[in-house]
Amino acid sequence: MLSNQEIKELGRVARVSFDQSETEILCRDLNALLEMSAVLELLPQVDGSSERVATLAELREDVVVVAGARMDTGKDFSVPPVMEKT
Amino acid sequence: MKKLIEYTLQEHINALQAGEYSSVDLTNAYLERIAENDASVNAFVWIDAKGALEAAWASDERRRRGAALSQLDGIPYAVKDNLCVKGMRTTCASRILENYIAPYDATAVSRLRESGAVLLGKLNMDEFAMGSTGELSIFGATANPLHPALVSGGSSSGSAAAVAALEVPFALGSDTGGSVRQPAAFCGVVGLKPTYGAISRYGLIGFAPSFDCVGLLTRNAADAETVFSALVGKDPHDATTLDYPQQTPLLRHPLRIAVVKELLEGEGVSEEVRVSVQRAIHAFSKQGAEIQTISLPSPQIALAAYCVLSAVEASSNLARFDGIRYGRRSKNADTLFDLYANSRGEGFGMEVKRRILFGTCMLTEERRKIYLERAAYARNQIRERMEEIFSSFDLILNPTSPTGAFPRGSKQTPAERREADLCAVYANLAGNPALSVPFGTSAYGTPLGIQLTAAPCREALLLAAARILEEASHE
Repeated sequence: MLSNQEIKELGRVARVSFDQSETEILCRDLNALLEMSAVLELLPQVDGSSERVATLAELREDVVVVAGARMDTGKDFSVPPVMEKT
Repeated sequence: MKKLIEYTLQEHINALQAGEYSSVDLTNAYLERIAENDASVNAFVWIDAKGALEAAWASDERRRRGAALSQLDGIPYAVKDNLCVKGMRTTCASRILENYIAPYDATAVSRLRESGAVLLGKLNMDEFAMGSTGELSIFGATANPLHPALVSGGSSSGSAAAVAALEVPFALGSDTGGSVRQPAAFCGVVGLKPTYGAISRYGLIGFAPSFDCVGLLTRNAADAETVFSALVGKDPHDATTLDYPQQTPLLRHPLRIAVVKELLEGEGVSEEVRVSVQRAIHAFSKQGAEIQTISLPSPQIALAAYCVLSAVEASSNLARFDGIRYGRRSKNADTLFDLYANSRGEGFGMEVKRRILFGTCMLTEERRKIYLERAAYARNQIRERMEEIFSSFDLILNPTSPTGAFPRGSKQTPAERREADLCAVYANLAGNPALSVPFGTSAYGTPLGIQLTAAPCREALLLAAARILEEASHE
């Protein structure tokens, strides 16, 4: 579950400002979306190094799908340490 | 006797060719209709009456010389406000682009311009195409023209409402997770989401580029076919466009139709929608079609995969709106970071912020493995399953939406709003063409929609099958 502090940190990473009341709404709504997405945990974990799963986006090389989330780039979009601890 | 605005696109084409009326007459008729009616619908956000009448006059001149550019020459239309039109405001219904004037035409717009069609203006939408009710626009909500207390659907709310309200004979929209088909179903018009890559996305301000498609809304399937043929084809500006194969719209006999069990028997599907699907099945059976029930990967997994992947793409895609090169720039900033954050904070609505933050969350190290990679895996599985289905079937039939149009303001939470996309997302995940045809009536008296999905580049089959339902709906 995300906390208000984590929401603010996500806002910092995404460079989007919002006030305190918006923070609370976003916290509630993102947690609801996380809950809805939990069904994905039923699927097997994908090992990006040994089982390369082709997505529709990867089949279209020119489509910029996700900044850095392509499985073969080795890019790490880790959030700064404050996120990892929580 | 029918009013001019009540004619279908094909009827207008025939009438213009026969000289029964002029494009200026026609354009004026629609402009008058918009002036008298649109205040209650709020489909249009910008009308270019002067430009439209100039284009109509030029069309009439060409026709007098026997030099009509195409069958669409002189036909009025309008486009969703996320399609760039040179010299016209293109806002995506967002404060962050409220004064943005596009410096170029989207390819879809330029192809219609080259066909001689007459652009009336820009249509309302949910902000950045993120929504399914037509209520999330800086210009205010679009009402359902058939029942103003109900939503028009979204995010191509204005496109569907304008066609249903007889303000245009056809309109362009965009479909990322059902945003053409669902409002088409709610407003009782035909909505086509083409094969991914069939119509160029150049000039479509993107939400999730691997899902976004330019789509079209018309009064019937024959009109959709005419508009589609003017738009389809490779575009050097968009590397994802296809060499679209020529096709004949011959229906295979017997048609083999798959009905998705999970989308018919799911909890959220209303009884009236189930009845409508059964009637549609009966209509095809009467024509000799073979109908079989099949299973698709869980709708909840498909919906979750769509939500995660589209949010991740949106998070990346909307990073460009930072108040520097274009769009709203905040006056409340002491540092560069504040300039970015406050421009975006002031410019984006809550739903857009929600999706950007959710996408950013999904891109974090800890959640990427749990959600994002699995969502990509799910998408691949769905695509493979769709390919497998279309090796044995011609069409998939299911409801366009689990319910008909619902009261405005009734879907307040993200989860409730997402549920409306349940039936639509498979086609976006897999890139297949899908179409909504009005069929059946809700308890509110508004239309319901049946969705047909086909294999990639089989729009001709979709449209031919849609005509069977159209004929049956008149019985």
